[in-house]
Amino acid sequence: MSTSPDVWLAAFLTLAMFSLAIYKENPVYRVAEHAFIGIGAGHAIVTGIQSIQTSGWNPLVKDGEYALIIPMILGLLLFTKYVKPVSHLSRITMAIVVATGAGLGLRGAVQAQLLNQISATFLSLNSFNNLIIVLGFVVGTSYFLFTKRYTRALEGPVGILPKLGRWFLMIAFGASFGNASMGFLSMLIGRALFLVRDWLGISNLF
Amino acid sequence: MLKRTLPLALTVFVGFLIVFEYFVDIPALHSAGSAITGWMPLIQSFAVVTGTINLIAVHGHSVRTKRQGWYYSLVLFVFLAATVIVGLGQGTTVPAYRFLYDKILIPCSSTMAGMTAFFIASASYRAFRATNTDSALLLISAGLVMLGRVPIGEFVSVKMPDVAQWIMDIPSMAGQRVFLVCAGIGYISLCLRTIVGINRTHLSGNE
Repeated sequence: MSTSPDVWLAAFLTLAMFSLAIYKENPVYRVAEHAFIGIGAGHAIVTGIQSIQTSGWNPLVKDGEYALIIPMILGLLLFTKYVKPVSHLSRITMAIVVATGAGLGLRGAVQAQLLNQISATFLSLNSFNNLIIVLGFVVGTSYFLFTKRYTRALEGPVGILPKLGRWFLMIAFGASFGNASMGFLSMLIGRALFLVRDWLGISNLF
Repeated sequence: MLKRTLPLALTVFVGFLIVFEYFVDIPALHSAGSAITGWMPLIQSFAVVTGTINLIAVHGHSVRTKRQGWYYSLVLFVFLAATVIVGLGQGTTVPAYRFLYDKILIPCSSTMAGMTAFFIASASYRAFRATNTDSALLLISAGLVMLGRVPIGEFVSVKMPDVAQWIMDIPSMAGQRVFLVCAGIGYISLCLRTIVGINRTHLSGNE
């Protein structure tokens, strides 16, 4: 068993966190949870202020990059939301941030989510795998045709297309779920190994 | 005017500027667009600080009004204050800060993430019931991928990892592309609605 206080502390916190899943919400878990949130929030403040200092204040004051006064003022305007009479001023910053995000999202989504995906699906139908990809994409997309006209058009014999599309979507959901589960499970195994190997010192168990 | 019209006008102006500077080759537009984009990390840093102030306000209210479990908020304040004092006073590389970060924050965050496995197991118990073709496909696909990702899968069949990889690479990828394209269309419409000023949720509140 480890004699390091650091390892004991980490083991205690790990067990405290696990206690939620094993038992239910309890005081030990809540203390660990609030300590975690406190340090996380503190870390966010520290990195945020350091970032303001290094990428805003220092270049502005020391290097004379006066254009940075604009984002500094916009950033400070965010704090006006705590002062009722001038709280609407924070909307100016929000407007610019949201508009920039929407603009970047719009031009990025057209390229990455539409054009690239569609062009990557234009495969030559010379193999079973390519056929499955093209078929899955076409029938899957047909499932999202919501207009009345198209729904009517897909009734009858072609009505099988959205149904087939849903099956492809279910396979994709299942595979994503399975993949994500294994990712989280490996994290859980990592913590269990920490307890068994680093804390309890049992290294020949596995 | 200052409360709604100016922020709305700014949304429209900046939104169109960012879109046009990508598609239209005018140097002045490029420099304006890249300047605004370059401001974002700095504004985000301010936003992070305001987010934490919100957290402090919520827990401060809990302590002031002595709500049930208020003493947990005190624990939060103690650790928050310790992290901020050490981090801003001595920097983030000193042993005291590394202790808070490496010995408390990291074990807690990785355990929190690992605990998701318990909740996923609980969710799969409820969701994985082959009551119709759709749910049967979901179950089979998830089961095969999970089996293919663990050593026991190879005991069942040596082909299991290849089967899992094939599901991920072929039928699942077709489905993922459908999600990307359809969600992309939705996302583009949302961005357009925001830029032309139809979607104004970011301008609500703080009346």
